[in-house]
Amino acid sequence: MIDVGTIGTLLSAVFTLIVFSFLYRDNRIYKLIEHIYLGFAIGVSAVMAKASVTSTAWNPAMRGAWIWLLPIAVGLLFCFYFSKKHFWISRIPVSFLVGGATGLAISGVVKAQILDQIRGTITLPLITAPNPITAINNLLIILGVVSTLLFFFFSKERKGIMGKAMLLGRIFVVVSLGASFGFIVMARMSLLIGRLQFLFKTPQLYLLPVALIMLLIWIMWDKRKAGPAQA
Amino acid sequence: MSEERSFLTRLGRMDRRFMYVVILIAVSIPLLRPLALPLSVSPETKLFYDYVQSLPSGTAIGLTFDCQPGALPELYPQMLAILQHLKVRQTRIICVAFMAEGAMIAHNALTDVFGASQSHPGYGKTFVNLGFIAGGETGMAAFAKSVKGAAPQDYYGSPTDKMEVLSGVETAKDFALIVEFAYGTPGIPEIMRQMQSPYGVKIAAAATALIATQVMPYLKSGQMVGMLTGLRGAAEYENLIGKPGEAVAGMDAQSVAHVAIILAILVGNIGYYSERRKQK
Amino acid sequence: MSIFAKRTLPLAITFVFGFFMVVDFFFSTPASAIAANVNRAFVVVANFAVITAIGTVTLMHIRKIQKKEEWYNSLALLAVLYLTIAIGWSSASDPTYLWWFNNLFVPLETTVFCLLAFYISSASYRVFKARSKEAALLLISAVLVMWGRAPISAVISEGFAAIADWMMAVPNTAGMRGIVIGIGIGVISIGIRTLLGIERGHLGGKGE
Repeated sequence: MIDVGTIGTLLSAVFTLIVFSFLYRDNRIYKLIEHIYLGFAIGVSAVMAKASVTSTAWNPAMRGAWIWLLPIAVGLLFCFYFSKKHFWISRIPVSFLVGGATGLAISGVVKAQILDQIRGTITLPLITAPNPITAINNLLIILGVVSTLLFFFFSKERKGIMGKAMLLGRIFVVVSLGASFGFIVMARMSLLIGRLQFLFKTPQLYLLPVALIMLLIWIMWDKRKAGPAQA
Repeated sequence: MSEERSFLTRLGRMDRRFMYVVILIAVSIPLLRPLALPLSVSPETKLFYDYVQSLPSGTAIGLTFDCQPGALPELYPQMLAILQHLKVRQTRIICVAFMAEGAMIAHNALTDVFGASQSHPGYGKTFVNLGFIAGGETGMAAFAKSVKGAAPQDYYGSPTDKMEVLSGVETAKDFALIVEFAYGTPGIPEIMRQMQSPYGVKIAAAATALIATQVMPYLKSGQMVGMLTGLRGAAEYENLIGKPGEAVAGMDAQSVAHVAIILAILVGNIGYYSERRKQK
Repeated sequence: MSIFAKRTLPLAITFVFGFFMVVDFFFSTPASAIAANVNRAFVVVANFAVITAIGTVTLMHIRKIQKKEEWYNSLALLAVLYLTIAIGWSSASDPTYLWWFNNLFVPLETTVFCLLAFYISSASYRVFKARSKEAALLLISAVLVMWGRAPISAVISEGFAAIADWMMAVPNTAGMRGIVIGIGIGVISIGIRTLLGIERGHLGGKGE
């Protein structure tokens, strides 16, 4: 008797192989699965949103803290998003959220992304570095940060010493982007490795020969359809 | 008039599906027949490991599961390795998610490491899953300001105000370390802004390779104590804790995949330059 | 409804709550006592934004079903959407919901993202050409990092890993740090413009 866990694993494998079918070419079953995926994504967000509202506001309100009904009421104003006449009411919760998020972002960014990063650059030891290589590396970092910031001064003309500094900044940005690309390749390959590790386990491993045969039949079918058309 | 094309030029223009098959075979072979290649430890992983090793038992460690299932092949092995290490160090583990799917992912990870989640005798005493807190950066700010206020109930609906695992944990500064499983937004910049900057709490990143280059400046400025990068970071950590798992098993395939991509870039460029020379 | 209610009131709400969060962050005031509750209110209200997603998708796909444009795809989407909500409504930790999530949603999302591995491999030989000095520098940097991070490079020499580590620690840190600082300055600039009502993109609608 197949248990629920095994059924789930086999369904996972079938879905995986259907998505992989897109690599051969777009097809109706893949489009259907794509729509199902979107339905899942929104459904999961809705379930977690409901759970969050229940725990942070609804349950406390039902236990006597009635003030928590107020944010629930404000949140429900999102429903007016679909009204042509009263659309403006949905701006209230949006403005509330945007104001809060903006205020928090502005406050936090000053130290976290500006002051601490500048401190981390200007406090790098040069003369007091433990060895010459560290001193050279630190100097490169300082030059790199300054020149990268100068590179983004698009309103200044790129000539003279300023132009050379901007060019140096451009080189550092290009090297950073190259390193980013290298890591993007790593990340994407890891995703493929993870999926294949799953497919190479039993019982889903037994689906692979079936999938391969179906793919070969599909390819031959396509060639047959294309054959008379070419003639 | 037929065009004379060299082998290299034709190679540069082959059907992309041929490349898909090459990559599939290249990655599959080492998974089925491991090569057992050596694996060194990168400096940022060692920093992460050493910091966790230095933590006294009983200290509160926050784990933020800010990821979606698309990042699991990289982040899930990291989660398991870190949780296993924290379990051995006997720290208090407080899991929370600022992305919706993170709550379920945390449940799965705790179940895989402890054998059970809510039904485990240690649940609520040594570890807890506080579930999902919405709002992204505003959710992080709310959690940092008042842990029990932002999460009055855990993922399973139990009240958190009297939980033993949360005793003495009121704000972000009561954590000895917060590990951010980072994938996108909200992620490292947001946690630096809302937790590290105002509260001075130690932050470590367990990040996908996708964002590793963006996270490095925070590590180098001393704002973070360590970083794991992608599947390789997970493999290095598994080796450091002495429990090689799926990540180590995937490293051979990662090597071959990188070699395949590098060769593809070389072949593509050789074909391009060969065609350019012919046109001249 | 007047311009005050449609435009001025939302902008005023943005300013008041934004300013409140800034003051609370930097100063300790009597209002700090309620700041934690205000933060929690943000969390509650943020959850309701999913209403717009559900509503938009539902209306769009009902229209497609009515027009019979690949109606079966739209029907499947709506069926899965509402079934997921129904299964998870009582509890997000319900075993049935977790089974649904782990066995159906997770493999779909993971595999969709893993297709990118194939696209990047095909792009590697079709698109990533060193057409200029900068493109060549970018590719060299990428190749050095990829090779250094691959365990197989250690079989030839440990130096490759050291080169990749150096590239991350020095040029990448320098370049990215400049970008991080630039982004920080940009966040402050856009943030102030938003709080002062100069940026109004969040209001949506037809600019009333």
